[in-house]
Amino acid sequence: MAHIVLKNATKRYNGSKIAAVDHLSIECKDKEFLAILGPSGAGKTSTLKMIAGVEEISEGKLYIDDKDMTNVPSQNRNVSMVFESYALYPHLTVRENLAFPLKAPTRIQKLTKMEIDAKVEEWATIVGLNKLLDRKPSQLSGGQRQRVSLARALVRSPEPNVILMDEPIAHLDAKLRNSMRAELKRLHQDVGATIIYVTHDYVEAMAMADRIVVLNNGNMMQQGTPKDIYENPLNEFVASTVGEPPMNFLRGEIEKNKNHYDFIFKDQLPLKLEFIPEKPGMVDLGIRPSEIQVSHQKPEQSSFIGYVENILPTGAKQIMEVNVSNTMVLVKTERDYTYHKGDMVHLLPAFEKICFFDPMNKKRTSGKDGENCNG
Amino acid sequence: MKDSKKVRVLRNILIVLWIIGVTFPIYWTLITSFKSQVDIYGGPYYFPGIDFTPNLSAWNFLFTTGSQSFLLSLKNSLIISLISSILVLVIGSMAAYGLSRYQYNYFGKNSEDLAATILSQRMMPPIVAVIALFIMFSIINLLDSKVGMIIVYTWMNLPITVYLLKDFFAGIPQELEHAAAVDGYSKFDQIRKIVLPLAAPGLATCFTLAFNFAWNEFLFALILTFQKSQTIPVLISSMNAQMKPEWSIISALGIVAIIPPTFIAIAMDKYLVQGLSFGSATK
Repeated sequence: MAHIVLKNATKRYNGSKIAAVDHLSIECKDKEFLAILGPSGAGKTSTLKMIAGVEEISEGKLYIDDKDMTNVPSQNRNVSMVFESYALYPHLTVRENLAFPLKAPTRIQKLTKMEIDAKVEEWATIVGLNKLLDRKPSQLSGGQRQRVSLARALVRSPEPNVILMDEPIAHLDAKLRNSMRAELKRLHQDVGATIIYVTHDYVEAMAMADRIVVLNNGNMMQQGTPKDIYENPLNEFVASTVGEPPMNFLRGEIEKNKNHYDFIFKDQLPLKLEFIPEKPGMVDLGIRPSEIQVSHQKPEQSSFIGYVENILPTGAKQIMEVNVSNTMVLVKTERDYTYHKGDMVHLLPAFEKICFFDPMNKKRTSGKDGENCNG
Repeated sequence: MKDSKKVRVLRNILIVLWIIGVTFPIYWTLITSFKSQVDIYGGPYYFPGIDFTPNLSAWNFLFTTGSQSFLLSLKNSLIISLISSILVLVIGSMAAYGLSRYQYNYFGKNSEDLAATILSQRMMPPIVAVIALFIMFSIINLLDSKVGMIIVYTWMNLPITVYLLKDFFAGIPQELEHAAAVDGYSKFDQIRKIVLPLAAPGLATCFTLAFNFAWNEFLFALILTFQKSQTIPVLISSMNAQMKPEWSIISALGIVAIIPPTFIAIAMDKYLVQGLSFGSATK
C-alpha cells in the first residue's frame, strides 16, 4: 500500500475549454480510507480515472510513494479499481475473472497455477462467492456481481498501491447497501488497504471514510474528517451536500440593537441572537433541520412563526415543511401526531448550531474554528 | 399458450414448402451432375434410377481429363479466399477498433467521416474499377497471380468489414478495457484477451461474409486471371463457353464449390450463436 498525491491535476476532455477537474490537489495517506464526495458531474470519477491511469492527466502530477507516475501507463501503476458498472469480463467465469489480475503479464512476481487457485478460493470465500465460481457474470445478481468486482480488486498479489472505488454500491438495493457499507469498512480495517472511494451519498462517505474531500464542478470545496465536514462546513455547498434533509438557508440581515444583535428575516419579528456574530449586514443563516425546535406555543425567546405545509413521516422521525414568510424551512423532529397541515408553529433554531454564510461568495463568515457551528 | 391444431398444421406445411424451395436447386444440381447429355435435354427427370440412369461421366471427367485445371482452380480459390478473408479480418478489425475508440482528425475530418469514406468504397460498382485495375496490375506484373487476386479481394471486402466491426466494437463497453488495464494488461493484451473474444460473433460474421464474397466473386477473377490463377467461378463459366454447355460438368463443379463455404459456415456457427448476452454491466 502506498501514499498517493495528486498535485494540481486538471482534466479536459477532447481539448474542451471547460475543465472536468480543475487544478485539484488531493492526498491519500498510506492505509487511509479517503472518500471523494460530490454531486454528479463534480469530477469525482474523472479524478479517480486519472489516478487509475485510464484517463490521462491533462495538467498536473501524480505521485505514488513519491514516484512520479503521471505518464506511467495504467498497467504499470499497480492500482486496482472497482468500477461503477462492475466491468466484469462477460466471457469469463467468476473464477477466471478473479484470476485475471493475477495472471497479468506485468506482475513482477509470477504465481503458479496452484497459488492462483488458492488466492482465488481464498478471496471468493471472503466475499461469499465460493459456490458461484463457475458461473458467468450474466448468471449473477447485482449484489453478487458487485462482490466479484470487489474481490477482483482485492485479490492482487503483490497487493495494489491503492484500491479505487467508483460508487461500488450505488446500484444495490438499500438493505444490501447497508450491509456492504459495514463489510467494506471491516475489510479496510482487516486488510489495511489504502482506499479512495468515490460517492455521491454523504452517508456512505461519513460512515466509512477517515477523511472526506468534497468536490463541486471540478474544484475542491473542503476536505477534512467526517466530523469536520459535518460540523464545520466552510461554505453553503458543503453544508447542503452533507446532511439529509439539507441545511436550511435564510437570507436576512444582522442588526446591532443596543447591547445585542438581531437577525431580521423578511417580515418576521427580529430573532435575538444569543452570541456576537462576526459582522453585521446581509447574511445567509444556515441551520440543519434537526437543530430547529418546533412548538405550538411561543417559546420564551424570540422565534419565527410559520405554517405547516406538509408532514413527511419517516418512521420514528418526521420531516415538516414549514412556510416561514414564503420561504420553505425543513424541520426534522421526533414523530409527533399533534401537528397537522396548516398549523401555526413557532420555530427556534439552536443558536450554537447556526452557521452564517456570506450571501455573495457563499463562504462561512462566522466561527471558522467551529465555535458557533459545532453540532 | 398453445396454438390450435390448424395453425400448427399450416405452419408445418409452410416450413416444408420453404425447405423444398431452398433445397430443390441444390438437389437439381446434384442429380444433373449424374445425368447424361441426353437425359438433361430429354425433359425434366427428377429421380435417379427411376426416370433416368445415373452415370459418373461428369465426375470421371473432373478427376481424369479435366483434373488438372479443376484441382488448380480449386486450390487457387481456396488459397485466395482464405488468405484474403484472414487479411480482411486482421486489417479490418484493427481499423474498426481504431475508428470506434479514438477520435481522429485529418484535414478537419473526424472518425465518422473516415468511416463513411471507407464505406463509400463499397458503394461503387466493382466494374468501375476493373479496367483501371487491369492496367495497374499489368504494369506491376500482378495479372494472373494469386497475390494480385488476394489484394483485390481484400480491398473489396475491407469496407463492409470495417463498417460492421466498428459498430461491433463500439458495443463493447470501454470500461472492460479500463478494467483490464488496471488489472495489469497492456493495450495489445487488452484487445487480445478482452475485446477480440467478445467480438467473436462479429469477427465470425465478417469472416464468413468475406470468404463467401471472395469465393463467389466472378468479375475480377474473369478479367484479372487467365490460367495460372483461375478460380472456380471462372472455371465453371468456361465450361459453358466451349462448343456446347456441359451441364453435368457445370453441376458437378457447382456441387464441389458449395462444400468449402459450407464448412466455413459450420465452423463459424458456434461463434455466431454465442450472441451478445453481456453480463458485465449493471443493467
